[in-house]
Amino acid sequence: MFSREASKMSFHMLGKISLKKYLGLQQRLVEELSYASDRIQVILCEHQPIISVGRMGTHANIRLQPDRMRAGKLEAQWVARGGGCILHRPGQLAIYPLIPMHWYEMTPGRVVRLVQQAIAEGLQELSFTPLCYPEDHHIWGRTGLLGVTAMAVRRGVSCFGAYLNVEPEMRDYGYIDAVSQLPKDQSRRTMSSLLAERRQVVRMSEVRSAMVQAFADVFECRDYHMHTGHPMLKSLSGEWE
Amino acid sequence: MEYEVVVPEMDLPTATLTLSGWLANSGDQVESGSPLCEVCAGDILVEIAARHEGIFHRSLLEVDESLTVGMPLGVIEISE
Repeated sequence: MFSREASKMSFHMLGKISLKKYLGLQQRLVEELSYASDRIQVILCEHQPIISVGRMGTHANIRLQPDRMRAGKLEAQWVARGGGCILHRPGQLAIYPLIPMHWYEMTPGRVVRLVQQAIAEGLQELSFTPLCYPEDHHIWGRTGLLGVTAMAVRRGVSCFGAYLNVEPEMRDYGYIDAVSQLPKDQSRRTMSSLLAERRQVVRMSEVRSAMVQAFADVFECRDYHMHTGHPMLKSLSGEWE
Repeated sequence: MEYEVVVPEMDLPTATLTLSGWLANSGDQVESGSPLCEVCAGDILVEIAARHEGIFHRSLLEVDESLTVGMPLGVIEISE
């Protein structure tokens, strides 16, 4: 499937990290990977509450009143990725596959399809079969949108990724339209969660493990490395705090 | 000599492509790999980079304008 014999991957578990700090790390990683790297790095983490707004998002997608935004200590941050508005909270798994696309000769379309496929296969490992539609690259369920794919390609490296609602506090999610177009048999533009979908406890640690294995399988990597944290995080200056 | 910069094949047949922003101005000296503009293809934003060193002259396309694969985004003028 890949033009190289086998892909090289490393997974980094960052735990909870602010979106701003992650963006600093991502910027460094894109610079590093754009220089002839053959290693795919996948970052898994959770973010403190914040709304990120991609190039497809508008203020109209955020239907929270300013006083409620203040009370929830929520702010909107515009980010250079595709997709629209996404509310981040602990309990949502952010999956960031940074792929040196020139090395693996991948197109933007193939990247988003593989990311969607990996998440769907990871959920199937957890005995849940999500709904995927040909018109988008998101993860859907009976209760609505469970995961959103929103990515970018910079210097030939894929960045940003997918956000899977595992068991976040659902307050305010109903006021953020995460997608602009709905598949035929879906009715909500806002996000649901795996917990709401399955109506039973879903452990973040199990979802993380399933995603690591699924990404390694989909990207045909037999030998991958797993790390806690990322060595580059230490060198990020205060501006990213 | 001039090299034309065009909207590349994204392998996203159903996505609507739009010019999301310019990252270089007409008259800018660019190197190979310098970002020129961003194209939004729905769920993914793609930075278009220069493949040659030279002076970039961007097209008259406006931000948010719809694009199609192969459409000219500008030219890079290379001094002989």
